[in-house]
Amino acid sequence: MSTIDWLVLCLTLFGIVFYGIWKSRGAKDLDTYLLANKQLPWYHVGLSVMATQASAITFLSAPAQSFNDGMRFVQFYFGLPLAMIVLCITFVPMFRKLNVFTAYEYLEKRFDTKTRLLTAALFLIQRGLSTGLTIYGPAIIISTILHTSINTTIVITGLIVIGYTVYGGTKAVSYTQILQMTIIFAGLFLSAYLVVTMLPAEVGFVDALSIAGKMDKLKAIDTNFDWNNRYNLWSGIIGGFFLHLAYFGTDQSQVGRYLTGSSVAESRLGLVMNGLLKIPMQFLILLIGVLVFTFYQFYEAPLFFNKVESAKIEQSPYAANYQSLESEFKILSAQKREQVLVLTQAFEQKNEALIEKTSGQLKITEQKVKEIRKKVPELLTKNDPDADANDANYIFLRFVTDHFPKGVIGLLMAVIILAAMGSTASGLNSLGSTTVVDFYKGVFRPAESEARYLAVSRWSTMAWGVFCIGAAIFASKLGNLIEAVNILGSLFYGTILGIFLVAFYLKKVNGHSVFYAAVIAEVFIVYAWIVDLTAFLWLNVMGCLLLIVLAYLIQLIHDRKKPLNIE
Amino acid sequence: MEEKEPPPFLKTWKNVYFLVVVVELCIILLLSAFTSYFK
Repeated sequence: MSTIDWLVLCLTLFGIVFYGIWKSRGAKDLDTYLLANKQLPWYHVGLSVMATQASAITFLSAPAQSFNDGMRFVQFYFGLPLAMIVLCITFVPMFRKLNVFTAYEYLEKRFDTKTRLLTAALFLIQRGLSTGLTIYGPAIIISTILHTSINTTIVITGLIVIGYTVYGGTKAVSYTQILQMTIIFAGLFLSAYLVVTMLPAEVGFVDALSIAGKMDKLKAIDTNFDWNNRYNLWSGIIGGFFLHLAYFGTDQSQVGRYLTGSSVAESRLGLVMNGLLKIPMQFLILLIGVLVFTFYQFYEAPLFFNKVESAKIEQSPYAANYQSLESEFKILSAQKREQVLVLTQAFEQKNEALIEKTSGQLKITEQKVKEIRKKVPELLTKNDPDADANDANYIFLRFVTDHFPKGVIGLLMAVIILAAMGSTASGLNSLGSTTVVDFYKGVFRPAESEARYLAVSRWSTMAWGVFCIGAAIFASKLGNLIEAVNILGSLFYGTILGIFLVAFYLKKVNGHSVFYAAVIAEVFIVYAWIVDLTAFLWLNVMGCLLLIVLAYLIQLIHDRKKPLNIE
Repeated sequence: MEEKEPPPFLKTWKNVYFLVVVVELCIILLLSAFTSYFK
């Protein structure tokens, strides 16, 4: 990176961190530290909710997802707006009325302590591991740019986020997130504009989309129903509805964001804002990935996008094998370039026969390129079993550092790091809140002073930060991060959502029934994932429905076994 | 739940939720048209 890039990056990052610390100074009680005194307006709530979900994983992995697999991942978000409606109707008013700090406090009032603690524990496991993944995201960037070890960068970036989150609590998180989202939106629009301007002069935006479409990258909607197909209209609307209802309704990292609204209306409008803007935002991010793919049809892509790993293999005994793959790859890339230029001309001439013929040839060449690329991870792991052999998370990063102008690189790096910081901060804040409110205050020490609870909140946030750093160090083994984080969510969210839906809508079911139903449902879902029973989005639906049915049946059996009172 | 604080402009919360559903349907239809056009 150039000096300008470093200047832009550092000024942006540290400016925002200091702003958050300055705005959040003086927190003296849990209400301020955990819920910002419930004073925030709807747009602040909306931006905070969006920033919490949009981590660096979104900006690194989503373009990679569309680069490799096309636009169909956008369907994943189709259930989100519908989930926002249900939250506005039921969850928001309920949580506000009961004046809770965490979503799980409500469960003790409705059921019993053990159900509250089980749900809170499931949340802590899931969110703890997910936050580890979000720390890992920006660490990739920094370690690639600075050529440092990824573990060192994980520790340093983790400590920066822990610092301002522990100091300022929810207010620090929320105020930094407003600036983060503003810069993120600006960065996204700028990226999309730049990618299109960097295409050859004769290739416009529509031409780029036409080329991507012929290479099967623009199939945004797939109406075929298939249990094992991860992304289609039905899994997106139904499975996505359950996943997002669980995530926004029961995950404290989001509940804690919209409970900061100054009224029920402000919290609701913030969620509605999220519901309206999320799909267009994700569409733009995925489109950037497709445009990068199109760019690499005209200009040679790297064989392997992770520079650090490709440099290692070039210095190893397998260098000759790698170079041989590179030669084949260069020949095929040159072939693709010729074919795509012919295709571009065919579009201009509206020559349908030539369009179909060249598209077919291009797809065959692309398939050969994919087969060569598949050989690289085998070579990397032969040389070093611990090599980071999946380069999906580096595609967008490599494109930006190789091709974007100076200054913009720094801004894009800042966008990605800010996104990670926003999500990580929300995650740590929620882990600290749940630990203190549900476990420490709820069970072990219900009668301590506010000052003591505040101190324990800070310490537990810090302890979770250390745990998440550990999880981040393990994260490199998990492949494409945006899928990993959503698979992780799908393992737990169905059960947690089921517990809340029973709480809201099945008033006759008590704590014992829902507790045992939750344990059985969770065991089944983990088993279903291990045996690969179905695409992961459906696990949310299965877990939720299974729990509801089991809880109802267990309660029914329990009621029938109760002795009759005969007078 | 009571709706003591109606939203501005749209008068009732039901109108807001209806707007969200309509916007989502429009987005899905636009994406379908997008998919078909660039096939």
